[in-house]
Amino acid sequence: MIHPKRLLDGDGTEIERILLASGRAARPNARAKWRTGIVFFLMGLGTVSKAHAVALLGAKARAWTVAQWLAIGVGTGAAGWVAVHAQAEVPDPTVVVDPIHRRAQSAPSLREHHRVVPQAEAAPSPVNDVETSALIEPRTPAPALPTASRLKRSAALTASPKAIDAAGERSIANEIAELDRAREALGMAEPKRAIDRLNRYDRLFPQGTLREESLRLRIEALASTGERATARSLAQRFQALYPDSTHAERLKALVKEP
Amino acid sequence: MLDRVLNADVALPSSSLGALELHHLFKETYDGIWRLLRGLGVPTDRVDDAAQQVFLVYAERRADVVRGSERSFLFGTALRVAHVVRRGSPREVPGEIDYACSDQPSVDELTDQKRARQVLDGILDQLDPELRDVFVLYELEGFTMPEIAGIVEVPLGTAASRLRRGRERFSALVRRYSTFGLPSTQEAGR
Repeated sequence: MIHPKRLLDGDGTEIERILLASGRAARPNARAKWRTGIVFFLMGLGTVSKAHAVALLGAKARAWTVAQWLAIGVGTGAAGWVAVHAQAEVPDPTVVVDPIHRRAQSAPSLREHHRVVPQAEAAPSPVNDVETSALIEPRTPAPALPTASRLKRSAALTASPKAIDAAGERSIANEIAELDRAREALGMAEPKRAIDRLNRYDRLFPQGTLREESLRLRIEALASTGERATARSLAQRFQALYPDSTHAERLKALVKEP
Repeated sequence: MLDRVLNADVALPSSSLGALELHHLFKETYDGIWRLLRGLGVPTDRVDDAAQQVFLVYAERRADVVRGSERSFLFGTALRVAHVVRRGSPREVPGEIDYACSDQPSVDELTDQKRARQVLDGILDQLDPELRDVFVLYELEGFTMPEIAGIVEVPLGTAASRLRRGRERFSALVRRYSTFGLPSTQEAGR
């Protein structure tokens, strides 16, 4: 039989279903997911711009020039739009309503069906740790990032979930576009332009969800301009804010005193 | 050059559009990729890194991926990453499962689920890798057989045969567990 009924859908014994339900219920760590998402967006965007531009124009240099102008045009438009419209709160993309998870949660407990199962220690609180980090610029403190529950309340009060979701995606896309331009400037050995872009990012997105990436780029840009003391101070702040960041060690090495 | 851009059949994607596509793809697949890696036996402390590796492979090779087959590409990459990671990792000791859940279940429920997950991991560890791949993709991730054949890169009949054998073995191991508890690592090698 090519398409047998799945065990979890009734073709298995009760204990098979309980075990498989536990497998489906497993959920990733929200913080790790968020970090991977950021890295993925930034890398993915860089690859796409280059590949498409090269495919269209056939010459790397010309393709890059056009791609940059297009990026600047699109970015300026997007930034203008953002500046004109009030910024909607960004829904936490790590909060996913998963029907599979719900189904697994409703499965009967293993203990009811297996008397040999010993009691294990209760696990610590589940992870749903939306970061509530401090600000990049110390003189302009921003409120903490919205928590999932706040966002849910806000969504219920102000708009349909679909509308909130769309606003969140637009906002994240705009953030990515801004940071991508800063990254491009840095890649072209123009750290001052990168810093301008990052200042702009901070102005547009004081509660931005990609502030970790923004701070990382700022430190790299400052190090490139020779402002090592400032870069070092920001690197310390970065380490304090994001101790688990994969960039922390590299930044530390980057601003290390000679 | 401007004419060429304007008259081109292929539209240049804007950064925002690319970002949205990536955002959707990531949102739709990350949990599944993570679960698949867990189901294929990647040690708990390495699952996050392995998941990141899967997405970075995609980001690097995105231009080569046929549109519409992004999901298959990601899950196929996850299979390969899982195999590589497992080859370099000792077997995980039961009891170290890091069970994290977004909603907050009761202590009893969490304890039971955690224990059930440990048992499931122990049983899946006894399956041959090729049976485990197909079994996990079908039973845990809900892929169809043609999708699985594409991901695992085997003919449909082979995938179906692996699923049948995987289910037989899984059921036998569950029966055995119900009677005697989990087999030891030495027994598993037989």
